Amino acid sequence: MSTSSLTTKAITESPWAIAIGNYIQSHPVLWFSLFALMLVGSLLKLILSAVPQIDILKSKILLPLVKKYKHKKLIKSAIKSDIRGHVNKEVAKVKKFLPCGWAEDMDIDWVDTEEASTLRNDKRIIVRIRPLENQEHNFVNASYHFLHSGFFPKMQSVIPKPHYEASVLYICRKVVDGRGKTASTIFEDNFLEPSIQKFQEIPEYMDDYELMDKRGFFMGTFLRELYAIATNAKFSRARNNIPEETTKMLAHVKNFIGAYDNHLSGEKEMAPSDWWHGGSVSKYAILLVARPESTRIDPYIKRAQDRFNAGSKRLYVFGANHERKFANAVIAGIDGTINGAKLVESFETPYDYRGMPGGIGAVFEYNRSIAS
Amino acid sequence: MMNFFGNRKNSIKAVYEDDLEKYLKSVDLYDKILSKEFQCRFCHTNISLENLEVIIPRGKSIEFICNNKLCLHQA
Repeated sequence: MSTSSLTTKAITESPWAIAIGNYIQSHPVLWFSLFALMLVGSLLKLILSAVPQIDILKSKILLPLVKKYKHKKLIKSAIKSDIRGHVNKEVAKVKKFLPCGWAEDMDIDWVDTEEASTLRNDKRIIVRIRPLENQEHNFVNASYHFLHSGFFPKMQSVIPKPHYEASVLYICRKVVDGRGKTASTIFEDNFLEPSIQKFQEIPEYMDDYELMDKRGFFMGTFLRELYAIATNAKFSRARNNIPEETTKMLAHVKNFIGAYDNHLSGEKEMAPSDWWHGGSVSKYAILLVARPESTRIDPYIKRAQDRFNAGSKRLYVFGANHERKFANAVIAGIDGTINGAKLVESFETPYDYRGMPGGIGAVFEYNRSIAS
Repeated sequence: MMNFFGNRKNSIKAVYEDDLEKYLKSVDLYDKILSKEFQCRFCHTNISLENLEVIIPRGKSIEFICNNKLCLHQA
């Protein structure tokens, strides 16, 4: 018999183990209640971490308490709930617009000790969290680093730095503004202004992002296409031209909005070339699904096919909120009808292409070798 | 990583002020910081216990960001 089996036998046959066993058997209700209580406690803990509003409520209860009773474990719990609750509440408003995986729910892993090898192998950065008196600073700091680490996954070193920085700051500003004036001021003083001092393009970029965002094209097209450019050019000589490609793509999206506005006002009809962009890496087209005169989706599918045939590698389809059903039918139609067209992602947009709140979109990739 | 409710979560690592010394000792960085062996990745100021703000693991090496406003946003 092995040593461990002997040890187990000695423990189970010891007088105190037998006594505990007998006690449990004679008090089943007590033990069941304790077990149920532990289960409910664990479930509550899970719910607390999953719902931002509950996290915020928890922090509202804990924060006044820990100001009076300086218990470190409670202080850390209050800080964590406060930051996590507020960040997740605001991130929830934008994550449905962003590419999948860029802004998931946030959690904070406290570290007080770890192996040096664990620190080196874990690629996550470590942020210093200051005492409660600096909680607004902690919130801004954590929000920024959380978004910064999630944007453009694996392409962060390839994306032009000013656009990487400006896009994180643009979204971070929305998150931080939801918290209140003090956090906004800290964000502007400690993050926005220093970034502008380093990259003078940032204010102009942020204006451009705002213009595109109000029509659903910032997160819908610009960020996704920028990521696609970086992904496709990463290991080729085209990598050197990414800044130029990005500038041209940005100009196209802005021009498209201008051309569409002119068309709406009756000033000037849109030219066929307004609907697509042909850079050296970025080749995409835009398809706006408008209110149908009939319920047929065929004209849209034909247009999508024509654009793929003309050389577009990606297609962005957009629909207004009140035309969601029809737009979804067009998206499903393209997905099911056009050989070589693969639905990469469907997403929501904060505004539709006419500037009305809410909209939907989808992006397709076209593989010519499968199509032929 | 998924949580119990099926939502994906991204976590950031954080070290609380009071745990900083203990943490740095556990990863063998405390003495090196006291002897000013590290500089801020961006402004090249010596990293100290007072100005350390972000730790960035880069495989075999470790980088630090100080609490200077101009450096903070570049981590």
